[in-house]
Amino acid sequence: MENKKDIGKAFRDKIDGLDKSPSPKVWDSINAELKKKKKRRLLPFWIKTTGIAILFLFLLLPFSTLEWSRNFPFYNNNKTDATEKNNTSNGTNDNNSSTTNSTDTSNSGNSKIGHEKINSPTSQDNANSSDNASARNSISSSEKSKITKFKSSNAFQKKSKIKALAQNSSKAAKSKSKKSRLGNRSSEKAPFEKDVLSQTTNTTIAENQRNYIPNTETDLTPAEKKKDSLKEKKKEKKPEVKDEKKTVKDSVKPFSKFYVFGYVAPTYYGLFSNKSSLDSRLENNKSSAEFTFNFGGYIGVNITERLNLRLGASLSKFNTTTQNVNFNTSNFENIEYKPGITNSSIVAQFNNENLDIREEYSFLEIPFELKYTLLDKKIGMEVIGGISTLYLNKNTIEVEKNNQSLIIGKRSDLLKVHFTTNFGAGFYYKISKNLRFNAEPIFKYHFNPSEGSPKKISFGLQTGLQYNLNN
Amino acid sequence: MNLESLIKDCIRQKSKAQEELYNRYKDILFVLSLKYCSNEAEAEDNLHNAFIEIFTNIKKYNGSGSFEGWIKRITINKAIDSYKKSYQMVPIKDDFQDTLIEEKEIDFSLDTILSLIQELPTQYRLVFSLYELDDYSHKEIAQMLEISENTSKSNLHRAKTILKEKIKQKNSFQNNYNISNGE
Repeated sequence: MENKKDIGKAFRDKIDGLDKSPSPKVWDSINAELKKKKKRRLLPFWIKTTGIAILFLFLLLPFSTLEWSRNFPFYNNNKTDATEKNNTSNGTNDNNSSTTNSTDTSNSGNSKIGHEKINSPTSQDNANSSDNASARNSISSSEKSKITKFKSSNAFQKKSKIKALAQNSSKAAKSKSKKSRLGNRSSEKAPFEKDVLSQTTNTTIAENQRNYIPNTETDLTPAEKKKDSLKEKKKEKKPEVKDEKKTVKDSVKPFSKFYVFGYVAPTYYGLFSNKSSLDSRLENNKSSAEFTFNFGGYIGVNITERLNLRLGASLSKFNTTTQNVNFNTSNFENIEYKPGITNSSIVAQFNNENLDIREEYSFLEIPFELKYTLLDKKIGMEVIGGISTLYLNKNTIEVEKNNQSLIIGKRSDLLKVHFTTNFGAGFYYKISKNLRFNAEPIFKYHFNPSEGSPKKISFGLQTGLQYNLNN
Repeated sequence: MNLESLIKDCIRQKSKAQEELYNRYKDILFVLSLKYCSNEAEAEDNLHNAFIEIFTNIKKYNGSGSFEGWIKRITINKAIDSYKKSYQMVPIKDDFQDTLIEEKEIDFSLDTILSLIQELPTQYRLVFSLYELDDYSHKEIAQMLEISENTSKSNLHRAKTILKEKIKQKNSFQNNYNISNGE
C-alpha cells in the first residue's frame, strides 16, 4: 500500500520524460500559411490607400465645385454651351411669345386685361414664365459672379424639372378645359416644386410688370403697333442674348485636358534611419544612404482647373552603405550569398579587414497621384498626394575596401513589389502658355520594402518641364 | 540569437526568425499537443494551428510573463477550441472508485503511457491533462471548457478510473502473454 500513488501523479512522472518531434511537413504547412497571410494583407493595403486617395479627392472636391460642373473634361463643353444656348434661345422664344401675348393683350385695347392676365397667369403663362425665368436666371447669373451661378446649379436642375412639368402643362393646355385641370395639377405638385414654381412665376410677373410698356402711341394702327412692338422687342432681346453667349463663353476658362511631365529627381532613401537592417548584429554599424538621380515622367489629366490626376513611370535607385563591418562571424541573415561565397571566404580574401557593405537596389516605380492647385499665377503652387507601386529591378550587395569591391550576393528579404504613399508640394513657373517648369519636393513612405524590416522614408525633388498637350 | 531579438524579428515577420522560433519550441509544444489530442496526426494539426496563432499574435505578447508559458497556453487553448467545435457529451458515471496504483503497475514505455491518455474520451483527456499534467485548477478548467467545477472533478475521476482499468487490462494481457510464452 505504501508504494501506491495516485494514477495522475504516476502518469505525470512518466510523461515528463517524453520527448518527441513533429514531422517536418508541419513547418512546411505553417510556413506556407504564413506566406499566404502576408500576401492576403496586400489587399487591405490597397483598399486603405485607395480609400485615402478617394477621401483626398472628396476633401478637395468642395474647393473645386465651381469649376467641376463646368470644366469636367469628359463632359463636352460644346454640349454645355449648346444647352445654355438652347436655354437662352428658349428664353428668347418664350420672351417673344410672351411679348406676342402682351401685344395681343394691348391689341385688345385694354391694358388692364393685360395686367389681370399677368396677375392671374394661366398654365400656359406658367410654362412661358418658367422658361422666361430660367432664361432670365441664366442671363442674370451670367452677369453675376461665377459663384452665384454655380450655387444655383441645383436650383437650375429643379427649375428644369419644373420647366418640364410646365411644358407638359402647356401641351395639356392646348386641349379642352386645360386651365382648371392644370390648376389642379399644379396644386398636386410637391410643395417644394410649388415653392420654386411660385418663386419663378413671381419673378416673371415682376419682370413682366417692369418690362410692360403702356402703349401711348395712339396714332398708330393696331397692325403697325404690333409690328413696331415686335421690332422693338427683337432689338432689345437680340443683343442681350449675344451678350449672354459671350459672357457664358468668357466665364469658361479654357484649360488643357492632358499634359506630360518629364523630370529628374535627386532622391535620398532612408530618411531618419541610420541603422543597417541587414542583420541584427549590424545595428551598431553606421549605415548611410546616398543621393541618387532618378528619372521619370508623368501623363496627367486635368479634372478641373485646379484638380488633376497623373500616372507615371520612373526608375528609382536606392543605394545604402553600411560601414566598417566585421565579417569574422557567421553569415548575415538578410544576405543571400552567391554560391561559394561566405563570410569566411570574404575574410580570407580581404585579409580579415573590416569592410563596407554597399546595397544597390533599383525599382520601376508607377506613381498614381492627385494634385490640387493652391495658387495659379505666373508662379504657382500645388499639393500632391498619391501612391506608388515599386517593382524590384536590381538587387545587389557588394563589399568594398580601398577601391576593391566584390559582389557577394543579394538581399534575401527584399520584396519584389512594395508600395509607398506619397505626399509633397509642387511649385511651378509658367514659361509659356503650354510650357512650365516644375519643382516638386515629395516624401514617399515605403510601407513594406522588405520582409519585416523597418519602413523607410525617401525624399526626392522632382524637377522638370511640363507640357500641355491640347488647349 | 536571444529570445528578445528573436521575438522582435518575428514581430517584423522575418521568415528566418519564425523558423528559428518554431525549431526552438516545436518539441515542447508537440508533446503538449500529444497530451491533449487523441493521436499524433491530431497533435500535429494542433501544433500547426498553435504556431499560426503564435506568429499572428506575437506582437500581443507583452513580455510580462514567461514566453514559454504564453505559447503553451495558446497550444492548450487551440486543443480546447477544436474540442469545443466537435463537442460531444460524455456520460458521467458516479462510480467513485479508488484511483491509486502501484508504480510497478505502470511500467510501460512512454508511447504506451501516451496512447493510454490519448485513448481517453476527449473531455476526460482534456480535464486529466489540464489538471494532472499541467497544473490547472478545477476552477480554471471549468472556465476553459465551459463546464461546472463538479463536472471537471467528476471527469477527472472518471478519466483516472478508465486509465486504471486499461492498465489492469494491459497488465493482465502482459501476464497472460508471459505465461503462454513460459517466461
